[in-house]
Amino acid sequence: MAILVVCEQRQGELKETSLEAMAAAVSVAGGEKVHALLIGSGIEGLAQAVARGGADEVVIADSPELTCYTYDLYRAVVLKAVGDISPSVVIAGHTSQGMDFFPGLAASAGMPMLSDCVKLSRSGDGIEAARQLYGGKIEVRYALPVPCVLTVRQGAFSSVMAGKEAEVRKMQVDLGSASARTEVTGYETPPKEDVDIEKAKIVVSVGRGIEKKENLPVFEELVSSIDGAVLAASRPVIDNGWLPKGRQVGVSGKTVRPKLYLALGISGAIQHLSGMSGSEFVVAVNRDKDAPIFKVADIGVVEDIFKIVPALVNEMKKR
Amino acid sequence: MKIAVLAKAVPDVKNVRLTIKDNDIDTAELNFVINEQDSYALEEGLRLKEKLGGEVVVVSVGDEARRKGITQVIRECYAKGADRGTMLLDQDYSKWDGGVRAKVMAALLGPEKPDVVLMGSQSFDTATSRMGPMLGEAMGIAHVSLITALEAGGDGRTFAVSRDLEGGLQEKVRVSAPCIFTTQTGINTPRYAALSKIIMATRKEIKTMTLEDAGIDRAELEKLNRVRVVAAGFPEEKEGNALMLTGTPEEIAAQLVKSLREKGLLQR
Repeated sequence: MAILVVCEQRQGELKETSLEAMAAAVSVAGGEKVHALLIGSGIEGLAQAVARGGADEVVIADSPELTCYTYDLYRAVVLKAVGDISPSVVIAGHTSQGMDFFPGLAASAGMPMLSDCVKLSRSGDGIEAARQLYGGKIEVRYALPVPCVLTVRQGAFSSVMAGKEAEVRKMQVDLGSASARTEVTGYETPPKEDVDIEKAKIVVSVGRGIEKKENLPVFEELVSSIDGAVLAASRPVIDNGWLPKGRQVGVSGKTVRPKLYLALGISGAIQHLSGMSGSEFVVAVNRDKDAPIFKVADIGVVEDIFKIVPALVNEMKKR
Repeated sequence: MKIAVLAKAVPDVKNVRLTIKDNDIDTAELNFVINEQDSYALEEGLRLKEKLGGEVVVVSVGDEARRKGITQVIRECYAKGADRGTMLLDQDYSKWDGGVRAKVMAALLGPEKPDVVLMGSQSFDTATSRMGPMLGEAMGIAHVSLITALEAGGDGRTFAVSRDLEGGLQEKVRVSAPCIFTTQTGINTPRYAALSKIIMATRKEIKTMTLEDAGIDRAELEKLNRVRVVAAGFPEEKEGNALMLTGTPEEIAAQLVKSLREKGLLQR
């Protein structure tokens, strides 16, 4: 038996989550060999980085047809690797690509699958996995038989640098009759912003709680009363077009690590938390006392932001 | 063109203190509402229909406890412009793993032969993001998940979409019908339903089906149901819980600014 970690790279850059998935794999390996699969084109240079993450063997599937992710061709490769290695567990990151790929792979391989796991352990002959439901309000533990497919939440496992050597093997890529029903035609980066929220020391971030665009000046006034502060937002504010995409904090936006993060009317969906949990000090103001944002806050206030923010502006003006 | 939209009824847990019952939250006192992400999928489906013609069929699966919620969800879709709605109710629904739910959905949708299937990229309750890709496997059609833009060719057979990657990066993908899309919030602004249409929607029929009606073998499904819930509880509290400030807004503001200045987090 063995564990198979499917790593993710895009345009030659290895995703950190792949190393976290590796750490998760090592934690449940219990003596089983950990194989890491790297898929792409011209990616041999990434093998050592993957090996340092704790793999016993790095398998490389390298072909020009695999340059960009397509569900069909990547599935053909992973199914082949699964056939070769017979893993008890297939592990990967719960990323955008992971969400697109692994549920279908599991269905195709006839394996049970759980996504976005935050804890994993061996339990008898199978695996016990925990994941969060209802926006992080409850946590459920599940039992799965092996073989199974698991994806792990970004940041839930800490990558390790195992200084060990790994064998590197090139896999024979024979895509045979497999053809891709989807085609990646390019990538688009968001337009450059006048304000760089990633560099700011103080980030004032607003969420759904601001209710409408017309209320933005209330928060802009707070930002201008604090030296070095910039205005950012969670996804709903960006989706509504109230602020530009470059101001978005979260998985599909930017990751910020300021000295002070002020979360106003943000409930704290995991997609948002993963973009700001590296902040040194977090203050959260929200009317819902059960909002997950309070779990990562250093100071919390359960109150209406439209009462607190004007009071804060007044207080800042007192000096 | 035939457009199918998956609309899930999920419990509304906003400002609710949850309690645990039978390894899940106790939903007895909760209202069920349309999964917010699915309302973006519906909007995208309605826009496709408006551009290219055809019909929008809404499907929803649940158990008897969700009947009222699902009825409301489908009526909301009717009021916004959906043409037909089907619900499948089964007492085992809450015990079904994702793979099982995808099989049931595939059996429901198969006879419809949809050109496009749309759903939210995740549901608020379980948030597994498994349905789209698993349904693709079960129906034998392509899927593209987490889309933020959808552009249909004039023939309604080819689509150019953008999908969300990390850090604001968008992946541009081309795909042909029949296919499945899971939508991200922000792909559009869902319309509101006019009151007159909401009233009209209450008179419109909703087809109700059972597993047997859909020709699904319960024993076969059970073989696929291999993920078991061990226990449900509240997540462990993070160490060093937040210091909660209380008082009038003025007192809180004063306390907060003082505290941040003392910690050197504010420059003045």
